Amino acid sequence: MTQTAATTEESTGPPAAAAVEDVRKIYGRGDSRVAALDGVSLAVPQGRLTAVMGPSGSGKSTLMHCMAGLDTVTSGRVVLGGTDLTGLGERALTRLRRDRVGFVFQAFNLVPTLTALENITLPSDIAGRRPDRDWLDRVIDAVGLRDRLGHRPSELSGGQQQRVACARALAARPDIVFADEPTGNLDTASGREVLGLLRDAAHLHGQTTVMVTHDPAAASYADLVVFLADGRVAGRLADPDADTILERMKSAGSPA
Amino acid sequence: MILLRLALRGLAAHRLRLALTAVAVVLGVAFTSGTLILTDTMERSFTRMFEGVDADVDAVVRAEQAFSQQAGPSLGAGPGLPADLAEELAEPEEVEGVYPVAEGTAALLGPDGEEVGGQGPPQIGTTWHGRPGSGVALTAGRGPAAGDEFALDEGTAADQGLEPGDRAVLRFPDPGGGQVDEREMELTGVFRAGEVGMAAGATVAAFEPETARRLLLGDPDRVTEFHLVGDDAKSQWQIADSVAPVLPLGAESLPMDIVRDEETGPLLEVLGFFEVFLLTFAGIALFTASFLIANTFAVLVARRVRELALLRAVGASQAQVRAVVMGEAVGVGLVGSALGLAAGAALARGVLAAMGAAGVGLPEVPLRLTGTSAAVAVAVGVGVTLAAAYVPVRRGTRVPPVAAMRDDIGATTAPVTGAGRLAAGAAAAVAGAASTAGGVLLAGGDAAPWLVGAGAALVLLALAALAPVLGRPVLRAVGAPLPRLWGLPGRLGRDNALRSPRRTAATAMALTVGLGLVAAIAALSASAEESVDRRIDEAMGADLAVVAEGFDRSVPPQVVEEVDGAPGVAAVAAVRVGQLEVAGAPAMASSGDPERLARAASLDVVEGGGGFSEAGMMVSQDVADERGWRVGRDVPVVFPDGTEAELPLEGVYATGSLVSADHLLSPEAYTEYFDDDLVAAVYVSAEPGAADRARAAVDTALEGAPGAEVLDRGEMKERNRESLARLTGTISAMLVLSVVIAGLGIANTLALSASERVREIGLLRAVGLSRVGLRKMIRLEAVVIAVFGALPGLGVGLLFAWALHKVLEDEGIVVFAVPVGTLAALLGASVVIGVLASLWPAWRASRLDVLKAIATE
Ligand SMILES: Nc1ncnc2c1ncn2[C@@H]1O[C@H](COP(=O)(O)OP(=O)(O)O)[C@@H](O)[C@H]1O
Ligand SMILES: [Mg+2]
Repeated sequence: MTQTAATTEESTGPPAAAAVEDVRKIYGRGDSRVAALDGVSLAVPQGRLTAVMGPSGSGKSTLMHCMAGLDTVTSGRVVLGGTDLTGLGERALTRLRRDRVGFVFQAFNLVPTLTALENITLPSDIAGRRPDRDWLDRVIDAVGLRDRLGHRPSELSGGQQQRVACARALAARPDIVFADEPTGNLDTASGREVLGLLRDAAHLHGQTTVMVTHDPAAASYADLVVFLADGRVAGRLADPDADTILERMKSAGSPA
Repeated sequence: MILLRLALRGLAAHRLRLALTAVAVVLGVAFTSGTLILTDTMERSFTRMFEGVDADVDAVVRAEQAFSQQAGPSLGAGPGLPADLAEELAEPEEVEGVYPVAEGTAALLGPDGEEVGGQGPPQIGTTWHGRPGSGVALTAGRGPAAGDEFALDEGTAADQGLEPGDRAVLRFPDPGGGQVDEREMELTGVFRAGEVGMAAGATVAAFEPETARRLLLGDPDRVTEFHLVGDDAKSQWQIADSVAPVLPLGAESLPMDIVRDEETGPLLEVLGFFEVFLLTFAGIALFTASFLIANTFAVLVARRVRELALLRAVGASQAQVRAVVMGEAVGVGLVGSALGLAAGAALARGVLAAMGAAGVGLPEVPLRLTGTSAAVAVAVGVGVTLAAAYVPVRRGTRVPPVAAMRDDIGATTAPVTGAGRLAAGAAAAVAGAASTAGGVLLAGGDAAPWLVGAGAALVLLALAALAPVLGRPVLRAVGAPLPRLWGLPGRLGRDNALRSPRRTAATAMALTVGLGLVAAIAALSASAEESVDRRIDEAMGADLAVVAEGFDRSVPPQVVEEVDGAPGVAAVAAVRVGQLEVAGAPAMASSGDPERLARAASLDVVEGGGGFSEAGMMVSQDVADERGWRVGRDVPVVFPDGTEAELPLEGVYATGSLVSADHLLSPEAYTEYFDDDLVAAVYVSAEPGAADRARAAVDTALEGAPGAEVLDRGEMKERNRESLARLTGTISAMLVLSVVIAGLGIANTLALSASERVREIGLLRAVGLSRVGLRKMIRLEAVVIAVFGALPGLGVGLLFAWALHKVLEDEGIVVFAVPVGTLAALLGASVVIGVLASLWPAWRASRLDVLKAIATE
């Protein structure tokens, strides 16, 4: 099964919120040359939670950064909600991130000098937009942090911090949310809360979300899992559970 | 809005880290605003001092000055006017009162027989009129009415504890250069002149009109000027003009306002120079502070890459991120300026209080803080902070948004040096060297000192630009002995200093600037000292010189006659002085016998017969070259009383004599054309082996001639040394603040580095480095930085001093002396500065909780 075929096959499902076509990302040159992405093609279905899995160094973060307009690709195309990012300049990319993309990182998600609420409204404040109060209230209730809104990040636990980060990503109602190992630094219980949040956002509110993880349990929350290995797509699984993912990882883990 | 909030929160979060930066701004702004407030207040004081004095006077009639007086002490009494002119001046109907005024010097002697005030503030003797409305009001007693009576200003009387009825001795130097008069007189009254009274250490004694003419002018028939009080309905100009028809030739009549401006003008001008002088050093202090500011912001943005990248990731543009950090700089600048302004006001008050304590206080007026001063202080504080922060902030905020998520590149710092920096540094170095060389080659030209100054500034800038690159080997050399001397802490200290060459260099350069200037001043002063010493050794043929005490006095002429022919005295050469106009330009002239001066003061006549045959003059080689004059021509001269004459040029003399004036009049011409007899110096040569007897003879002669003193060669050198030391001391004191700020900069850098290296320090402590060892490590890093800053400073300072010496060679700085002792002391001082600067950061670092430090992210 070729990758091009995979893309075509995917397009029969729900419409794609984002897509990458034959993307390459090369770091360094000469001896230190690394192809972090080596011809990746992929479509992210609208209104679903998609997980990207793969061993450490397989290019997951790089793929996400390129899709989100945080980084540029060496070759290939990245399309986000109908916009081709490959031709965009720094200003347009900044505006795109501000208006159409939400982020949850593994750590350092929050500005330490701002309160939880200020962090949540940060993107719209930067854009100079009034946040949608009703939606903001629902998001805050969903993450269960109403009584913590005035606290600084240093006064919150790791799980609470990640929930604030999720709230920030969701509050602006972006076209797409990218989460890079959002549970990587959390204990199991807190991780489950955060994953539940992301899944509910997708299922209840149609929030398109891409989540990078190497934890099968986390990936099992997704509607679709894409496997990466050595900068290439190594397969995919729809509506997976933890066991099938584990199964698949074992087979994919053997050298190609 | 969110940007402002982020900036304010950033300020609050980093307030400790920004504290030293703010202190540097405070110091710089305090110096600047203190200067402005001080000079504004002094200006108000001066104006107040004259306010109300002679308030009723409308016009002044005085002798026309034949030419504008040069800056400096006015010599002689001036021609004055005949006293009987008063009757004619009273004739016009606009004139209601004519008050003849005789003014001169009257020094009050204290109980110890020494002059009160003296050597600086004026000792004014004037005429008492005691008319109501004059603004001069008695506060006790009555006005002087007899020849042995006087009145005294309130301040001086209070100071001396004198009350009406007391007797005191007054000294009257003859303005024409004659015998000094001393007499005991009775104090009849105490007065206050104007609204605030006299101040600045000046003393004012007033006498009944006839006595004033006799004692102050030495001539009962002449006065200095007339004050006219006129019809209130007429303008000052109308009153001044009304007496025009009766004015004799050579007299002029002027409105009082004009005369008052003439009086205050030079004072305000001096105040202006004073202000520029102080502001120059304030500027240097601010320049020094800018290094510290730049360092702080460089570290601040480097520490916050993640936070800034996060802002970028969620959609802030690069400009917005920069605005947040620059907003913090604005905050630091504003806080620093506000505190600096307050500190500046306190400083100004302190200086005024110190002046009062030193006996030269001005009338007390409230501190004057103008809107301009406040605006300048804030603009300077905020401006310097922004300018210094801009480059590091610009560099630091160029973070890619991915940096928010990547551990691996989060810590990446900008490259140590760009090609641009190298090129700019090299260009500045070349331009600086060229400018300095140009100044040296053009020595004597007006532009030369400026070229050298610009050259030194450029070389300093080049050093600042190149230090991060070229500094490595120097730092390594400076730090080389540390590991051997102090083991592990020594090695770590050296390595830490080398770790961030850019920061180390910027920290050290601040010290380079301050110490470099101090070194330059020290070297220049040492050179001047040796040059003068040599000049005295080479040019002073006489054994003793009699000079006046006080720069506006002269040696009583009878000293010349008394010393001449006294036992042990072989020869006497007197130098007299006068002001005149030579070929259209005002000039100072000396007068004396060239043959005597040749022996006593090395006057070397290189053209002409060597002496005068008639009432002629000689000029220096410089003037002869400049004007193209040859011996034998006539030189047009105008004397103070307006007399014009053509004097034959009878000789040209070389420079290098003790006679420093460019014009030398024959004694005949002097007696013929000058009314005054002003003796500037008397050179006395002793008979072989009779030095002691000659000195004794001179001492005896001086006993009856107060106001003059005798110096031998050693004493002359000592005198010169003292005045140079005062000047050097003043300038160095002005530079102390810059050096202090540089020290703060070192402390700042150490504290920032320590807070960056919390984990590492924790680790070192965990593996067994003791607190003492840790403190030693930080202290040694500080010393390395300080010495690294001092060395190039001393080098550049010496170079600058040498170039200036070359430029000033014609002005008499013929020797270049390297003050080895002072330089060594400065190097030592830099070590001390380093140690002091390390105290606080080292203490803080050593109190770190080891476990927490290791756990810190
Ligand atoms: N800025 C970079 N410079 C050089 N190599 C990089 C950079 N970022 C990532 N890489 C390399 O690209 C590959 C993929 O990295 P990454 O996308 O972070 O993997 P993952 O997130 O799957 O662990 C790795 O080999 C990594 O070393
Ligand atoms: Mg990753």
